[in-house]
Amino acid sequence: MSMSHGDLWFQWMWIFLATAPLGALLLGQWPRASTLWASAFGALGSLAGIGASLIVLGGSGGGLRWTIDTALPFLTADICLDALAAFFLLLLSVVNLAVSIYIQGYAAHYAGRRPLGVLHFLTGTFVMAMAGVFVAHSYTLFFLLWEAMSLLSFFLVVFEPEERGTPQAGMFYLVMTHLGSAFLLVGLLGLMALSGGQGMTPLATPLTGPLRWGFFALFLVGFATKGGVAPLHVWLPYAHPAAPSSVSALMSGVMIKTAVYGMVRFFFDLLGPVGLGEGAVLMGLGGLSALTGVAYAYTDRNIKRMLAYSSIENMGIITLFLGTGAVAIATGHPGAGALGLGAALLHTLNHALFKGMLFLGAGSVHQATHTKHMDDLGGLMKTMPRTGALMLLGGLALASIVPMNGFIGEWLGLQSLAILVMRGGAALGIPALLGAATVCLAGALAAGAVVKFLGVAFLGTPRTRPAAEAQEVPPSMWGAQAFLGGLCLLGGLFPGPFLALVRRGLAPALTTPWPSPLAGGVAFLWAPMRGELSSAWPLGAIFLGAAAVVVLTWGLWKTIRHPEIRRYGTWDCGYGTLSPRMQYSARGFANPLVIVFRALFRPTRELSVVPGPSPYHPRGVRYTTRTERLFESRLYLPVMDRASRLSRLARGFIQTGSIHLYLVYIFVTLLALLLYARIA
Amino acid sequence: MRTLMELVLHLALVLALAPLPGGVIRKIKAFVQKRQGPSLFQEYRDLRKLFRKDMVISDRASWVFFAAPFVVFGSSVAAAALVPLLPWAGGAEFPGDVFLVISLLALGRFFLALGGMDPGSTFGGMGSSREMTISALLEPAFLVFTLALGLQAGAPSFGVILRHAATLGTAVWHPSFLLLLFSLILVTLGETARIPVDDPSTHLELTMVHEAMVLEYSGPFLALMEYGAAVKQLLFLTVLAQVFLPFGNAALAGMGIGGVVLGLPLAAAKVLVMAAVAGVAEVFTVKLRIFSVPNLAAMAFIAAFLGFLNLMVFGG
Repeated sequence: MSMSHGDLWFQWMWIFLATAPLGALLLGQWPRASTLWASAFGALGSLAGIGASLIVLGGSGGGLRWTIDTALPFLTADICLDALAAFFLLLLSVVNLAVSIYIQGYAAHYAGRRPLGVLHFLTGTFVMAMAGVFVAHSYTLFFLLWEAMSLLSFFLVVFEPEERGTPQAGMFYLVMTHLGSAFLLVGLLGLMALSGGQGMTPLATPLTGPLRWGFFALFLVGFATKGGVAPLHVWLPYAHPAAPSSVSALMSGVMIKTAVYGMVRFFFDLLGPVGLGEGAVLMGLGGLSALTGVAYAYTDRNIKRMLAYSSIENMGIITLFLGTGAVAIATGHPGAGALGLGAALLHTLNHALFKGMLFLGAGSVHQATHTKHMDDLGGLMKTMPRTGALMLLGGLALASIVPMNGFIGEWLGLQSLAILVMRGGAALGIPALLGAATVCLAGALAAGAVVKFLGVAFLGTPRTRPAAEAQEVPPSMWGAQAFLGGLCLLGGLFPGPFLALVRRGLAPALTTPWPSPLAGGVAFLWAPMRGELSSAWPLGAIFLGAAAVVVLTWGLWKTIRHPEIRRYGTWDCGYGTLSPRMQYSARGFANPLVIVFRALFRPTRELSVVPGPSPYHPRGVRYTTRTERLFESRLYLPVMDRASRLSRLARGFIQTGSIHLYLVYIFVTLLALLLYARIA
Repeated sequence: MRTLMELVLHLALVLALAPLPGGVIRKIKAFVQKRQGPSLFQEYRDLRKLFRKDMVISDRASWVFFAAPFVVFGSSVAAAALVPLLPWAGGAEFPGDVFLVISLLALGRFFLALGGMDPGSTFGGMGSSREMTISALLEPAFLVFTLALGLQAGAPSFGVILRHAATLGTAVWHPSFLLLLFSLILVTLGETARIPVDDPSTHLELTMVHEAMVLEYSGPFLALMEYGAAVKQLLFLTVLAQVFLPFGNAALAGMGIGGVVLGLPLAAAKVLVMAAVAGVAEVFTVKLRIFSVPNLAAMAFIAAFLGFLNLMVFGG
């Protein structure tokens, strides 16, 4: 059997990815060796994965196809690395490469406290399961690996069960993810019945009417739960912060992207392009998710939870762009459709890069200061300059500001919406305009969230001792961050190659040949570049122009005039007692927004005074403010309450403890099955 | 090469003209208050004075504090490069550049707010917190405004939008345009830190936004910050002037080099007229409570959206 280069790289990827967790588990007795092993083989596997996916994305063929027969029916491992799968495998491999480097330094955080071998084993198998989800080509395999991914990530979420809130976060995650899996399972079984086989190939006759809506709804719930799309997002802000930061980077960077993969694969490939109505639903949910996520990111005080909320926002933006693509295709605007889908995929890649990087940075801060709370930090830009500078870059990307990659995906998506506004008539134009305004508002609020985070945690002066005594993390940790940060900057300044990857990756998602967004026609004019890999593209030019202005100003300044700089204390109104606690806190920073949107946040405050000798000299004052999480308090808790009350009621009738009743159940079931067999 | 020449010329003009509208606004206010007021060119003198001064910088500040003035200034200038003073004379322009302008302004604001928080004073945090809230609420209104005009002009690009406006003539008094004008005036007042959103002449911590963020800056750094703000103000005034006072542009567009020579004073005059309007508006309004500003932003958004609906349904 002759093997292509791609096959070879792909094979090596699996070998390395499998070696990493197994070896690390066996070496568990020796934490350093275990970490080194997991790190080295994880990195090798990622490099091989990058190689394999780039070969598939760069080639003109249909990708790689492996079929491994087993004796068991339904368990034929059918694996296909087509361009779409390769795009997501690339994303996984790049993030995993950074995580593999990062873990060398980060493992010290757990050394002696938790079994490192187990951490590496779980992380490694989790990565394998995710890679499997992307390349599985049969419904059974897809579902098995999906479940494996969910369960392994559950164990990683509860890796530190003694931390406050972690067991609850884990249980919440487990329940929610299985809710999604249940819907997914029904959908997959239905598709198997319809297509009469295991293979994940597009249906011969595209579905129509209620049947298509039914499948759409099943898969939507399944994927939206995994991806954290509102209103099914509630588990995410608990689970992602609870996991170790290296795992959070994988979960927020890659795992929630399996939902994007699923949506593209099922809605645009297997079911055929979904219609106008489904696209509108995606746009609506995406917009809701973007605004909900960013609103809570703005107000949250825990670094990792803020990042998790921002993941919800970004998943919302991706979903909104997917919906835009679907709507545009269904209404005969292929150029805008291509841009919309391309924007969704590009933003998926960009989000994986910058969110992975930010979670790694959050882990560094946690390791250096032992806290995740912004209000306990401050001044880290001076004590941890490298991490700080990288977090600033990541923050710019998160706020979708030039010159970082976060801007490019949103720019493409906004242009796709702009085409719909201009060419789509009132019925399309008005929703598209509102979609664009939503993306814009979400981006502006994300900028506020990032300013709050950077301003409180990294600027100013330290608020606590650990923050004052923080030290820069080892090179492996900030190096891993710098690797991702460099890609984010490249993706912002020269998005050409990244766009080319997206274009290749989109190819299998479309049953009909697809007007490439960047290859010509009307859409070409709207795209932010005039040629692939072209250096004469406006954003690069503008930004380099701006950089030139900055450098020129600075140069003029240096040559013409040397202003005398005197360092002195910050203005304290002449009192001379400016304490670190007088700085704006994260809560204080977010307060104007909380008050503006009090209908959403429902803030309550409580002031309790310990009385002293006179009312003017209290012994102590305690002031707490709380905001409500509307989705949980108004939607989930009531439903859960009802459900548990109903279950308790029903238990009295159904499960009485009487063996006779149980025998009746068995008998009735048997009868029903016999009848079914008879009729069918 | 020609484009580059035009771009450099455009930027030189923008830099030369930027401090002037501030002087006009001050003069108008002084006139209404029966004062003589400072010279029209006082802002230039202030900048020159600041650039010659030495600096006192907080010992708590990190490198972000030092980088912020350059980024604020650079991003304003880069954004201004995409908004032509003379729409028919060319310059940097490509489809979808309005989103880039919004993002460049966001870059400046981002560093302005970080620069405010870096010295660790309460004032800076207060200003940054307010600025990020207000601007987040105003940004969608500006986006809807540009898309509404882009809808009519055919592309979301400032060059295209302003060139299209030049052909409108008296059609700019169409109701849609009046709604859009109202919306953009509100956005401009908010983005350029004028009354009723912010008061540039106050130093009372209860009211200040922009001044609170730049409180710790002094000397040349402060000059760069203020210069950047002036360039941003000119950008908004240019859009206001060239969209809603398009008179003469259509005739000048066909005149080649003569159009440029005659057009520049005309464009400057229109910008100053808009500055005078802002000055008069400032005289007759009061600074709003900070929590009334969201209502203003909502009004701006709704006005822009209604203008858009009107254009969409009834045509321009």
